[in-house]
Amino acid sequence: MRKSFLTEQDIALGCARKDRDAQGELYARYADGLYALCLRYIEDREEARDLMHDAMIKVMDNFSSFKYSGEGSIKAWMSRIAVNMAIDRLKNNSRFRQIPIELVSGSEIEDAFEPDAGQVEQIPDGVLDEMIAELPPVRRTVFNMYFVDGFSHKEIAKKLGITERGSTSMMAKAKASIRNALFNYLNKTEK
Amino acid sequence: MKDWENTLKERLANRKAELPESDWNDFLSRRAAHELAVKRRRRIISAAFSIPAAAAVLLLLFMMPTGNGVPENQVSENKPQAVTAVVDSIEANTVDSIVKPVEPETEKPVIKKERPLIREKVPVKRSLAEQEPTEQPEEIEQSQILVNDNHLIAENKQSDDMIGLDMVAVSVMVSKVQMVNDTVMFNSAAFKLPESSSVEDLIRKLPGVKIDSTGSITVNGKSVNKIAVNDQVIYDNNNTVALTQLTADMIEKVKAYQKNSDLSRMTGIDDGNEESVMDLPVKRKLFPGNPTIILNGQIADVDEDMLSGFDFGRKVNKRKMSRLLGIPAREIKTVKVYDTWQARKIWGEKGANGVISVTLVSR
Repeated sequence: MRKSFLTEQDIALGCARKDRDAQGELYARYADGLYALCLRYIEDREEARDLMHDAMIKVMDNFSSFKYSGEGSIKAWMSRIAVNMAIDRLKNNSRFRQIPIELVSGSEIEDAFEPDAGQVEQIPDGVLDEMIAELPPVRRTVFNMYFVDGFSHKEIAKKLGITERGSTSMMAKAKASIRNALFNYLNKTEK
Repeated sequence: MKDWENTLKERLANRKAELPESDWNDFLSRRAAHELAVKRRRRIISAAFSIPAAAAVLLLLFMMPTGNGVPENQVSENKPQAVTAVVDSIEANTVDSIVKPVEPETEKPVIKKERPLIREKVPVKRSLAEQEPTEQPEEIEQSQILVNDNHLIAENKQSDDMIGLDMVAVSVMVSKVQMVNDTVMFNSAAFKLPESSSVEDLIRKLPGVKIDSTGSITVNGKSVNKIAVNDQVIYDNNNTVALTQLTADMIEKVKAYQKNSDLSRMTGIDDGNEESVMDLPVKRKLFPGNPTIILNGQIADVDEDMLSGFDFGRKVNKRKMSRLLGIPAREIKTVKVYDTWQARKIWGEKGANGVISVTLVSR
């Protein structure tokens, strides 16, 4: 597919009119980002792609309800839709449901370790993906929702059916796990 | 938020994952299927709403003032004012044309016959053994609104006291035994038996029928000489084979009747000997061939051998579909069966053998 020079606003207007070209452009620009988002929530690549397609269809069907509010608003809106759909899928997943919240324990936290922003910048994408994929499902979901996708603990609690305190606690543990993983990775590469 | 956290967040938020080359085409086909499903859903919804909407439009037309503030009774009295050319004094043979009076528009949607306001096909549950009627848009489309002008208004006045029913279920008692001329008919559906019971078990339950230890059957004291399946005598003098080989759920009815002997039938001379026959009509199959399986609005690719070997029995349910499709039953939301006629109307030739439409629980 060829990329055109349509602005975000043109795409939004075109999609609201259900213009096929605008929809094609929307897909070309945002599909890979949305796919990466889905992969953060759902490990299985095929299932994540399936979710991304569903989210895209939903986005295209409901574009008339979208209000353009500046550059980046399409991406933010699409991400919200995809995250909500991912959560619904995860909640139906028996594996996700089976993990009792209280049993999700924290790992050894290296309190003293604070990685450098430059070091984090150098870490390959694949390694970052692995670090997130290694988190237990619920903790990973909380991490993705709060840390990356900007949900509040209140929203997370409501969506996942946990308490706000539980969400905060899991976020702290997830962050600690990521810090641990970064520590281990950076130590390994330095050697 | 610390620096490294900001960097990590930014990287993760702006991360892009490489999609397979065929992704756009996959998406297009998926969207096409989705749009087809939406269209179908809209058609069903519009069909469902067309009846009340049409009724509402008609009701509005009737309730509108008849125009120019003239009371309705006066309009009807003054109808001839619209006649454009009727002259009494002109002789009949000189008249070229007579233009009919133009009736006021409000009187157009009048159907003369005095009929009920709405007549709809009501799905009726006949018996436990029969397939439940399936919902289908065609039934709704066939519904009629029969309106008589006065009648509609009268019905409207009473509408506060009326209660709309979605479905009326009529339970019919299944008679165990029927007598038609000299034939005694036992309805197998009226006798509850464990699954995979043999015909022998069924026969033992029939009133007035006995089987002795040697396998010979008597109906109301008369010994049964032959056992037929679908009117064809195939178990001649060997009742035990029929009784053990056939399962009870295959049999629709058990008929017992007297028949002239073979000799009298062949010679045409009544020798006075009659033989007692027990006929076992086999239940009709639910589908004439392999039905088409529709999974979430799309034709599912089910192995033909698997389909042809699958026993749908008399009723398709979630459990059977779960077994056929290898999907856990809890993930199946609905199972709808469309017989050949209904399926052909919706899916054309693809529905020639009937359709089983399965909807999965949305994730």
